[in-house]
Amino acid sequence: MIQVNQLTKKYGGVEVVNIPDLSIVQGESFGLVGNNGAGKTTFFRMILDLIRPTSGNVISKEVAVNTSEDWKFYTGSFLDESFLIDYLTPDEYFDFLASLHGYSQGDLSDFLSQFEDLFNDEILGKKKYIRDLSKGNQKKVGVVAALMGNPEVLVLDEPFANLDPTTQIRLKNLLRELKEKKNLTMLISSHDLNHITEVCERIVILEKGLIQKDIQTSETTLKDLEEYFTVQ
Amino acid sequence: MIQHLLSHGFKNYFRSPVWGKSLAVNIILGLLALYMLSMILLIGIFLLEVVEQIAPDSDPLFVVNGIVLYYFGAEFLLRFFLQNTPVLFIQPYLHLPLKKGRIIHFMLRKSFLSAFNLIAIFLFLPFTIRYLIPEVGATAAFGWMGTLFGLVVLNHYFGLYFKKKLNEVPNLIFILFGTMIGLWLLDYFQLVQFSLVSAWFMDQFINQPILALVPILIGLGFYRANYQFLRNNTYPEEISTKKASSKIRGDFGFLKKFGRVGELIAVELKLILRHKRPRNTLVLSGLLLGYGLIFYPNETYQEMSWIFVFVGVFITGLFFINHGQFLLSWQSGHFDFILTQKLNVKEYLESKYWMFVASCSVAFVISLAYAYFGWKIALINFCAFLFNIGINIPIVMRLSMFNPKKIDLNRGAAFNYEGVGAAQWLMIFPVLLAPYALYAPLLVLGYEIAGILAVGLVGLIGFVFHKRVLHLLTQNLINKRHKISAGFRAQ
Repeated sequence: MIQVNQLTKKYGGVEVVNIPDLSIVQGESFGLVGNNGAGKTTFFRMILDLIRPTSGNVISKEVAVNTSEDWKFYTGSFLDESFLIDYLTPDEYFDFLASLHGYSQGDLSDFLSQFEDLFNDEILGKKKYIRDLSKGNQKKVGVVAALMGNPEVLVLDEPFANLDPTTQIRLKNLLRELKEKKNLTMLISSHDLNHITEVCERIVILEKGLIQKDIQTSETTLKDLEEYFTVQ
Repeated sequence: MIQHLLSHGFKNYFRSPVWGKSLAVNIILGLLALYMLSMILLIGIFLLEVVEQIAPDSDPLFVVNGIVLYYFGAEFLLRFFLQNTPVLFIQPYLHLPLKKGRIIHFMLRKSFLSAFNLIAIFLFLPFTIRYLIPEVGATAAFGWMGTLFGLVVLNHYFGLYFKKKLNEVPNLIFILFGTMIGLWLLDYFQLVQFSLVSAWFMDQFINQPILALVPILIGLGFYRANYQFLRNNTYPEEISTKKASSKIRGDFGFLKKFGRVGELIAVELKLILRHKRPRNTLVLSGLLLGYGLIFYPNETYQEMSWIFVFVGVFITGLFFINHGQFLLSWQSGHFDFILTQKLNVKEYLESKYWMFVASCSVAFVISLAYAYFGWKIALINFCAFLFNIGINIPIVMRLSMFNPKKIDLNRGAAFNYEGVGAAQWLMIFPVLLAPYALYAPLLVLGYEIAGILAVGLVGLIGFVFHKRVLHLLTQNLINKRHKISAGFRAQ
């Protein structure tokens, strides 16, 4: 699904990402962990063609993301607030996205009804702009927006941060469900080792832009990860 | 502490990723500024000769005194349009053990180190030394120059204060322009001759040099007013986000009929209506439709009807000039969103293009009322309209992609003149001059109507090929997307 070739990004001579070869197959849930500055977000931005790589490329469905806009049509993503149009209300925002995805009003309300629990009655139908929502609620809007249009690939940067415990658990279940039912390819980064091991079947540790470990999740993964980061 | 703040200011400027990438432009602009300043200095040095040339029989001091008020009026306008209000991100300093007052004083004092403040000194100091000191004595000359310096201080801090107030009370701009126009009319119809007022005014300071303290003190008063204003508005709450607004404006459901492009226009219209700054530009564009009233009924302009092409371009195109100059910057907050959505860059630019075409069309239809002043005016406006939609909109769109700067739409009233860069100031030249490239030669040869029609025809040709043009613009944006989005993210 996604193939990374000789991908590097340098800022002022310092390499922040250097991934010679990485492939993520369809339906894989790929977790990225690493301390601050490990290059997680930079890597994700290169996957979404928001940053020009210093060398190498990211290939999505056999097409390099920087040469065509095709990937946009099957990739849902939420990295940060710049993915939201903050002067719209959540309803208007979803409405606008629905038009991009070719949803009818019915499709849209069907789609949104799945997330009633997640929204906890704080998002929809409120006369509030996205910019006036709390960080957690903004994140909910962004994550749900990323799921619109039945994406085949989902890229989320720290989806659990800022969420309340209930929502964290709900989101975790939601992601697992999506993977099972829709065979969604997921790329998720997180600082929460617990959550990521529960959601992802493959975990990659990134440190200073380099892949340190690439493991299939098993019983002992959480322990291994904790050990790894304790030594640090 | 001052060193730290100074160095933060420099770093903020020089480390901005956009700065380094447009180094060449910055150098050119710097050289241009140096050139202008040296020209001003040159005029200043030979001011005496210039005045003697223009009015050989008058007392040079009388003539110079006569222009002082006009000069400061013009300087005020220049400052109003060109000078940036001092911006130093206050927020990161507020929680530190630093007195708020010191930061604000620092900001205000630093702002005084501005090239605008050199103009008056360059213009008038050589005159003082060469002519005034031998003529009226050192004390009087000192008083005279001191007054001018005081007026510079006054203009500087009054200008800053005015701009800040303007954010709070946008209608002040009408009061300003109303006053300016009123004064101009008074002068024009010779009800009051400001040159005489100015000469009399400046004379007082020659007679009583000590009076020079008055403008300086008033200037310092405005410094104080600025200080108070900033002091009262430093709460992050007031700077960053305003109160949650309960009223949700605008729906624009009808635009859905136009598909994706319509949807995008609807979102942009919401952007305009829900933020003070773009809303102000919209209102201003509406009001300036009345711009023609200054020109069309006026006898003087009937003989220089060439100026009507400029008026036509301005009237029918004001919205896209004003709004389009920040084409991408308005959306700098969610530019990543635009790049990652199911949305082609082409559709994105198309939506902008059609929105501007629509705005021009609306303005043109309204401007038809000017046909009252003659069919030629309607014809000129029609051709200017065609030129706008065919040529000028793409020009503005292209130039605005040149190094766009971030605009924080949610920034509240107190500090806000973001997004203005070199491109924004230079843009007006091609837009206003391009039609004359076609019109002027034919006008000179005596084929005025042909010239007007040529402007319209070229516009029409541009419009016919708008798909091709949009394609080129799309390519350009695609090539620059990484640089632009990095710039928006970093600032």
